[in-house]
Amino acid sequence: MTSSTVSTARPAEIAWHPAVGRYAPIVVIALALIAAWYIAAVLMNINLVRNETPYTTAELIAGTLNAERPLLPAPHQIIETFADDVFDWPVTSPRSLVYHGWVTLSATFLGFLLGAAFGIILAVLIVHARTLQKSLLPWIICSQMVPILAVAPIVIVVLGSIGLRGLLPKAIISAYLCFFPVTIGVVKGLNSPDPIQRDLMRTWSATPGQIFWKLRWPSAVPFLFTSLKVSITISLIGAIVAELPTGAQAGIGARLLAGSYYGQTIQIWAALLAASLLAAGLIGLISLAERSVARLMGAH
Amino acid sequence: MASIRPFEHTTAPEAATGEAGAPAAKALTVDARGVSLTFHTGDGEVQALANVDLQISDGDFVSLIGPSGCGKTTLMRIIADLQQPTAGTILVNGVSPEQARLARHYGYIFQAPALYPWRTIERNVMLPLEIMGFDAKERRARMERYLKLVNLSGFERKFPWQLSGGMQQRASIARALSFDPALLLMDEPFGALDEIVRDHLNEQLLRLWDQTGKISRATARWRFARRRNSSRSRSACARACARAILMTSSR
Repeated sequence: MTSSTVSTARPAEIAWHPAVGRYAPIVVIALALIAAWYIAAVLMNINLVRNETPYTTAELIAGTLNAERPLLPAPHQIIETFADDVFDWPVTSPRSLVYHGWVTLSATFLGFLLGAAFGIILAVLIVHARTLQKSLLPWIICSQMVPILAVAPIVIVVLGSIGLRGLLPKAIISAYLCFFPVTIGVVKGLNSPDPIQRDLMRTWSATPGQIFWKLRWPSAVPFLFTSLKVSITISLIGAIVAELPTGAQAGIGARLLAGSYYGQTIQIWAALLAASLLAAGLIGLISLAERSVARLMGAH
Repeated sequence: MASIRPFEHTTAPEAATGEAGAPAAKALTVDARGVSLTFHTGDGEVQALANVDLQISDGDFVSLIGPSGCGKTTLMRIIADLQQPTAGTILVNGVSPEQARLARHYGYIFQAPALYPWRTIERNVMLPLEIMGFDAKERRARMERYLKLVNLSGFERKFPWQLSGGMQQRASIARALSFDPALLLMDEPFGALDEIVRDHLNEQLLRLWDQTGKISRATARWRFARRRNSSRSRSACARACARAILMTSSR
């Protein structure tokens, strides 16, 4: 019959907005986590407020969620402190999280650039010289087995003794951590062209340089971006770790350390929130670059 | 193990190039004598080619046919210097395959189009020209000419994934023709395509041979060598080529 009868015969479907289908699962999980967090905060902080002899259960719970030095701060406390640290202080003040965030971020950027460049150079060497693959690769893997928490103070002290302080030592530690995924990813990418694509280059008797720039490097680009996304978060971690042994002058690592010295749990959590927002932003930046490069390279 | 013998083939139309008539008059494009290739693998030696003699003269359109595993691809790869024989001598245009490769005598078309996915069709066709140092104007002119020849005008700015398999293979033919190679080697160029598209492309290929012969008569003669995969398509091969060579497997 007509199409209208067909459509009425179907069971009625709720017309969801596409955004609902996309974000609903994320929102549900986030809400569940926040609920679990509040419950955990009540349970963990209850011993702190019991001595203050509150009169009702409601007051007891309110006390656990607003303690001054809670074991586990409630989400609204963290956000309050975070907002206070970010917006209520001038960005040049050592009390401002923006100031500390920038200190860490600049070390992250420099470390990431150094590490990515070093990682790419290593990968190119490894791909082009078999002897280097045999001699370098074990060292590269070993370098990642050394606990960075042990190495960081050594690097800081050694570089400090030759007059290098501040940004560069932190960037070097960050680079030390983040070059590895780049090397592994780019080696794989440079070796990814299939035999036919390489045979073509051979029949045209292309030079090694031409094979690199016109075949190997473009093939490696998708692998490179995947590695860079891993590597930039690692370089942020490296920068934070590098701030711990410097005596906590500035940076998110310094905030974490100071918070733990003085039992300021809310401050620690606010710094953690800042670090994860930075990491998310950095990955977002790389993804943005990845998408525009992919569009230029004809991805669909 | 494979040996080779000329396949007595006379059904070719007026293109009977008279290879038996006056062999001395024509230059030999491929001259292989006693070519053998043995692979050393984990479980012993595998002989891919045994004592192959093959002469292809200038301007010939030759098909290699035979059962799978008889060494057709291997022989073509040896001609193109993608593999080296373990015995025997082979000359391509009077020089060794390596010298011929370095002089860029080969256009090689594989079973898969193998277009570079990050390049548009026009930039794929211009890739060998870039490598060989043609200037930008000449690159563009040749790209336009050969895309027109394979009926792909208008698809210059498309990326390979936006084209069908047959169109991609045609683009790869344009790419192989773009630098006027002396010898065009095709390894089951239409093997991955369906029967109808394959027949259509075979006809186009014949026309192409005709046209390119005309185009380049003033400068260099076109030399074609191609292969068909199985004896089943021998009739198709008979229509498509001037000379067929049957390779047998004695494994």
